[in-house]
Amino acid sequence: MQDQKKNSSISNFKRDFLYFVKIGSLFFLPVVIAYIALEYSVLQIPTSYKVTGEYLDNNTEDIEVVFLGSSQIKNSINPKHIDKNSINLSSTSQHHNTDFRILKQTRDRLKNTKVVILEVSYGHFELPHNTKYFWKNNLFLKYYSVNTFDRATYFKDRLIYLSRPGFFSSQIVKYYIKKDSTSFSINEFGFDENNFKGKFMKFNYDDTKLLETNVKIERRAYLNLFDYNVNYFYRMLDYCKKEGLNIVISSPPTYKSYNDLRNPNILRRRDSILNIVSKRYEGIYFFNSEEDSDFTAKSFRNENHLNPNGAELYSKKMNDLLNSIN
Amino acid sequence: MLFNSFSFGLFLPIVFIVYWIIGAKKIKLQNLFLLIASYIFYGLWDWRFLLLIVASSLVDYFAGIYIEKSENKHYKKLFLFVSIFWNLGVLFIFKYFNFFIQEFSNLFHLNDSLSTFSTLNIILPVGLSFYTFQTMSYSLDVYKKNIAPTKNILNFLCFVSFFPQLVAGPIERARNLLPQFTIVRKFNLPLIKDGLRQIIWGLFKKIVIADNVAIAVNDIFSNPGEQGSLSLLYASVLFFFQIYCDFSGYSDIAIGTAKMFGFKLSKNFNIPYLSRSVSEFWQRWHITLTKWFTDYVYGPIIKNTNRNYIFKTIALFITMSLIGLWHGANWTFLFFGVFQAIMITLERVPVKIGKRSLTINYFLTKLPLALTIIYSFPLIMASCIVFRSEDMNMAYTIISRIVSFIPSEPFRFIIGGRFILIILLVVLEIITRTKNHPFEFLEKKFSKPVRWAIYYIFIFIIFRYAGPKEEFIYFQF
Repeated sequence: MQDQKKNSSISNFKRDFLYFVKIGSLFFLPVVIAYIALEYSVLQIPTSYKVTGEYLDNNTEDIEVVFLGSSQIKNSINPKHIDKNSINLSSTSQHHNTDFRILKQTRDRLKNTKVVILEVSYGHFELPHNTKYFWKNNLFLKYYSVNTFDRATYFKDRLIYLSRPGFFSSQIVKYYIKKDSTSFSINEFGFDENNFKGKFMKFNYDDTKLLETNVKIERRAYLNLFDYNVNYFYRMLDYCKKEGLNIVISSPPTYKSYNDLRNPNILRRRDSILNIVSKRYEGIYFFNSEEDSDFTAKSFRNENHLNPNGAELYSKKMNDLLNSIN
Repeated sequence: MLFNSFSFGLFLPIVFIVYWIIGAKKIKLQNLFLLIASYIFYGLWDWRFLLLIVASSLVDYFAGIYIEKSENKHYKKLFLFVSIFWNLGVLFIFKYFNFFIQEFSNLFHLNDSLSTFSTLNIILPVGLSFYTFQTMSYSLDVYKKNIAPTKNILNFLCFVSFFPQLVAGPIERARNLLPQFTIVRKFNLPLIKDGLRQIIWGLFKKIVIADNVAIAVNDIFSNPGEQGSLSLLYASVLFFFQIYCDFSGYSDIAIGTAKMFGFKLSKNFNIPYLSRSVSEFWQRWHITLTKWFTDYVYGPIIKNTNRNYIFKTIALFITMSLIGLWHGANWTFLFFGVFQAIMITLERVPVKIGKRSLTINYFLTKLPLALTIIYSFPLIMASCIVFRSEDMNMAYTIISRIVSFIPSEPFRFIIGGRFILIILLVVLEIITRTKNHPFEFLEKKFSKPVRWAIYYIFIFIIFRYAGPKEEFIYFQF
């Protein structure tokens, strides 16, 4: 009798367990399939990262100039206008710690690199470095084979959609549903040549109106970050020097309303460090265009980002400097 | 390993399948497997701290046995003392040592010679306050003869390190959780399904609400001195929902996960924003912690008194101060606790009306809920501001700017339309307030296709509207 009970309880368990596994698989299968479809769709979109990654893979032996930095560099440099073979590995919100990892981990591949462009814009020394949760870590791993996670990676770290589902969902809508080709007009260097959209276009590049608008600028000083960031920057410079790389420290143009609102203390601290750098290191080139009057309202997308026209002008100016470096 | 991580998404099904393949009949093997899984779960943060968990477990396991074995009262006390000394000692070293040294140095102006007292360069092990309190309650319960000590070391190790609730609770009592390791856990299909539902609900709260709300809160609280009243008020309200969704979301995932393995954990939250008073808030917020302090601190203090108002008030201040400090070594946490104590004390003040002695709490229960929330929510929010602040100066700045009616120009919503998700949360929780979680009632109300459609919608929302990944706030405690 007891055996019968035992057997029936075991068979109940088996039945329930198998039922659950079956139903559970059935439930989650559409989720997995939907995810695979989303991931595949995202991978087909010609994003700047994807194109830049392909350029990196195909030109490892030829690249002589590497641009690193945030969206300000990303929007300012169109490598098409640079005579030397160059790659722009900057991206929005990218800080020095990510720059340094990209630089070090592409060094073996980019053996013929001679010049590295590092960005030190107005607030660079008083902004926090990227965290381990920076969503672009997946993109760097997938497209540049650079590990910015600070840990061993596994296959999930290469999943692009999962890195920022909201952003990539809107990319999918733009690319596949709205068929908005202007958002994906990336040239072979990964530069978006149609990226004019922004506040300045909205105000028809009218200086009078633009000067009346609110400017988004960080005016708070973060002295606790300053020392760390500066020391980190020195380490980057030491590394570049050790590797025999020429360094250009760049700060792209910013609009006058932005310049007027900069915190003078932040600016003074930044400039004092650059002054020390100029004395401590030899052969470093400074390319500060923050107040370059050649850049008018028509050169900008917003107060601190150039549009493709501004980028062409800035890239040509940068090109002149690069050509002067042996 | 975080509950909201991809690795946990792989870990859970693997552990679940192996656990049930082992089968309910092989309890020892199942427990051993759970123990290994729990140690892997914890060890992936920092394997070195596994030694600390094992050491804490062994100290309390043997303390329990020797407390029972000893016939001499003094020896019983000695073994209890060893357990408490160990647990509080570990907590003190890892959590409070640096704070006390720093404050001591500041008090006596010893900053220049601080190196003499050198602070320890150590990190706080994840979940230390949770599992330490769990093991300590075991020794106390054995001493008070509320439970008999277990002689099964495997079960005890499992009780201390059970992975769903190891790092952020609920803080379980031995009398609830320990026996569950000794009995056959049946493959209870409805319980497992309910566990999965609760996990989805917890993930929704954490990933969609808490992590999105964090964007606005972090932005506004990063420079409170430059924000207007409305912005700070907005951030304060959002912070309440951030911390609630963050912590209760974790608890939901923990309880749901435990259900999948046939375990029932204690409820830790009960819609705290519906509290009529601060006293009631503590019956609805982090319930297991409140019960812990009530049973092991407040209760024993008033036990041998005549339980009059003054003794109760003193006991309340001690208890709430310790609850505050439990969260961390900072004056803000202490003030947070004291503030709660002041409010609860005021709510308990007896007022003579005729022959009857009534309290504010009594009047609050007679008023409509909406009116009482107007009283309780601002107080809870004010204490959340202190809780969130890095120091008392910051808390003062925020509160003083809120009450000064400084214009917020321009006021920014920051999270935009995602604010609607908070409203969705509140509506769902209120409609289903008699249930353990809002999905619980779906089984009876809707057919399977409708239920599945609802789950898919929520899974889609979790993926699509996930906020930037943030660690669980309570991990730091």
